[in-house]
Amino acid sequence: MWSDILRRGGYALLVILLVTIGVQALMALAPGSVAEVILGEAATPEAVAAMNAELGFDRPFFVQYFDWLFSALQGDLGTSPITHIPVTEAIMQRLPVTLELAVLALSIALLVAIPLAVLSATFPNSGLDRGINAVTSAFLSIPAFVAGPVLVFFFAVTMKTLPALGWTPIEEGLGPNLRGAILPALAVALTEIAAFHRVLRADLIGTLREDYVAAARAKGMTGTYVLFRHAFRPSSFSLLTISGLSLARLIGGTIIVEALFVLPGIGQLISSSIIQRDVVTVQGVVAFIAVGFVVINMLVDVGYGAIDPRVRRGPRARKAPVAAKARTTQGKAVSA
Amino acid sequence: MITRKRSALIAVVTAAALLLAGCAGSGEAATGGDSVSSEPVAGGTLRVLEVVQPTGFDPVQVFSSTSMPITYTALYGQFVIANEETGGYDCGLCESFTTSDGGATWDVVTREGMTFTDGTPFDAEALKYNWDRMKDPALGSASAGVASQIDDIEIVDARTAKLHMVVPTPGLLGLMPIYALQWIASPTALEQGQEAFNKNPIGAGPFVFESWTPGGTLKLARNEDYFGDPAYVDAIEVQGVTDNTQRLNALISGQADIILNSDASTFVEAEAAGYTNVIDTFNGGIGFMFNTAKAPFDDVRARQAVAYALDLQQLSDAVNKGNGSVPKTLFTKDSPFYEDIALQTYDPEKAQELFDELADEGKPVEFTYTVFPGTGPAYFDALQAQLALYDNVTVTADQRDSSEQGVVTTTGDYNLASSSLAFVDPASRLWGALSGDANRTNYSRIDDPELNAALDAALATTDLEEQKAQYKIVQERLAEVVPYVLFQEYLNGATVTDQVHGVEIYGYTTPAAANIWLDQS
Repeated sequence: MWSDILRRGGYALLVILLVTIGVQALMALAPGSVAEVILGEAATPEAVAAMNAELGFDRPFFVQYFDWLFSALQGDLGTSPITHIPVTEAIMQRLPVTLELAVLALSIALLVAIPLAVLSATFPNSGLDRGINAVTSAFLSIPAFVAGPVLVFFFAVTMKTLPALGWTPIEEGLGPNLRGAILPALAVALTEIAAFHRVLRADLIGTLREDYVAAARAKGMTGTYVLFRHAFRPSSFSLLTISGLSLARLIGGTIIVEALFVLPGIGQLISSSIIQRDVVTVQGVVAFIAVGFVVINMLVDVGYGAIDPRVRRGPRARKAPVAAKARTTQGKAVSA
Repeated sequence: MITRKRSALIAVVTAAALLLAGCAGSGEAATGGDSVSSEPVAGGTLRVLEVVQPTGFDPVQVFSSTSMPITYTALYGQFVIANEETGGYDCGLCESFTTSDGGATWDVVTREGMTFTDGTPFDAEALKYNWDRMKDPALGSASAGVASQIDDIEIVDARTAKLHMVVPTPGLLGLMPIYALQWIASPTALEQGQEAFNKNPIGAGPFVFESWTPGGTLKLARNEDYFGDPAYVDAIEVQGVTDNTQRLNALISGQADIILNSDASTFVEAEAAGYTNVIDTFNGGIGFMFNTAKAPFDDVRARQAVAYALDLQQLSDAVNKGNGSVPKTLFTKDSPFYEDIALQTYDPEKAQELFDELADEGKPVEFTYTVFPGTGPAYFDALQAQLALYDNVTVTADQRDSSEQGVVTTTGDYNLASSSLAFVDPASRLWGALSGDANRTNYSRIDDPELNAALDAALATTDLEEQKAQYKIVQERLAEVVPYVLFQEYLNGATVTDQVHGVEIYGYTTPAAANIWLDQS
């Protein structure tokens, strides 16, 4: 297991290096520069060149990259030339907002998706199942940038029950905080609901067809008891896996929602930094998100092996996490 | 809708200001109420949505003085204030701001005993520190160009700074509210560095900083030690919201008391929803700017052909959801310089004749339109669709990043681009945009001897009739040499609930935070 963790750690470092090099390359290839943004109307070519030199952006690509990497390894992600705020501080200021949004969206998605999946699996291919599938398919096809304005129109503009934008820190009261967070979280959660429902439904249906479930029923156990006591837990591995990955993805994937609802989170930080060509902040935030994503991904993989012994044993152990996820999704391998 | 079309009598003002004594130090702010008859009352928290989010509060970080007027007038007050009654400028935080030599030097006197909220004296040294800092290329102020017109700042005495200009600048007073020279911060606080300053910005305005969540809400509290009358509201909460619709949504849902806006269709929607608009329409407007120094638009016929070819109302409507408003003349009707001289005329036949004539000479009108993100693609689509109806004219898109706007215009690396010729004060703005002698700010590069002479003459005289005569020539020449095709009025305004009063919008850096009050009933 430890060798597996070390191997995965090596892959993770490689991913982080490639991601950060890629981001720097993209920012270098993109037209415009932070100096032009700062100088605005005063941006003569000479002034731009002087400011780029002042900021160190006139150095060769890899010199800039390794200079940044060396500092980053010591915990210094640099300071934004636009806001003059250290990137680490900016991330820490905004992380709670994005984390709360992601956790809330995930919670809403699980709270809605699990009952729907249980209903679908209990009555597979029934009218109810098809109806639920139709609704979740609709959710899946509504991107957050459509769901957000629609929710704002109904709940803020028409009903005036929830705010259209803005964020109240949790220190100023849980109620106001949740009122501001609910619409953006819902906008993000819709597509997650659909994905979670489909995964859990498929796994539950597969599990309910297993021999041991039939044996349990033959012993006279009620359908509800069998469902929750014997089928639900082994069917939830895939759901737990994609929930973890969703959380990691949402930390860096709420850009549109944060911009629409004017939430001071990581997504808004990265989008405004891209617009301002603030390569220092973009690089730092992307590195942070990449590390977060990779770490959560690793924990999921490692945790999966810890939960399901078959994953870490046998000749296929090295490919186990992916294979096991695929198997459970198809409902063919479930540990009771 | 309360629509206030105003223009400035600036030339009069500016000239009077320089020659006579400019700001008289009365300290009279451009206060005012809208349509309310009751007396202002104190109290309450004003919730404001401005158009952009601050990246910081250091004056060198401000890009435009129309984007965050409430934030900046709250923190820093108004150094000079445009006076809509006189068309001139009054001193706000200064005691006087005068020239006796046609703008070659300016004497700026600060108020006796005035301090920043950290106790640092608001004196001549503070002015010098702030304005010298703005010139520092390492700090990258967007106002560096204007600040650099000040060659040297001499400290005459503790309260008096003498500005020695690089070249005589009679319109300096009018430039103050446009640029960040208007905002004077405490040198002591600035010495701490920008990171520290942005966590506790110090000015001498009617409000003091309380807290700021980057990307979130800025909270300000009334400055009880303000040198003038205290502000009416107890506190202000400001958020920057770029999206026009979301600002209006927030107002409708009860999350804001006032939203700033410059989008025509948003004003229409706000009025339909029962809110009050306070709008100041600038002279001039927004439109297409030709690069007159580069083919094909170095030939005046090519510019005239495009101007004749475009149905500007249709173009403006296409971009403004049917609510476009095209400026027909350079000055708005209530300006003393207004003349009924059409800036451009839609005449498809004349346009085609000119396109054909140029093509016959081997100079077909083929050009690029520089497209910046935002409204740029919509303008391009409308432009291309209209020009597609003609022969011998081709427009293609030159897609650029928004950060390149400054470089594109300063280097002249474009054929046609969108730009603003909106102004309040012709003395400070029009000369800079249209005179062949204004190298740094004449981005269309128009250099027409008659136009130059009229602009110079208008600036040099204090006689209103003479100025009117000269600006009439300016308008005639603009219609003839066509450096710009203006297709949209520039609206500077706010939409408020019926609880909000005292919102006065005139020119730049308005509405001023100190003047706004909330109905407490």
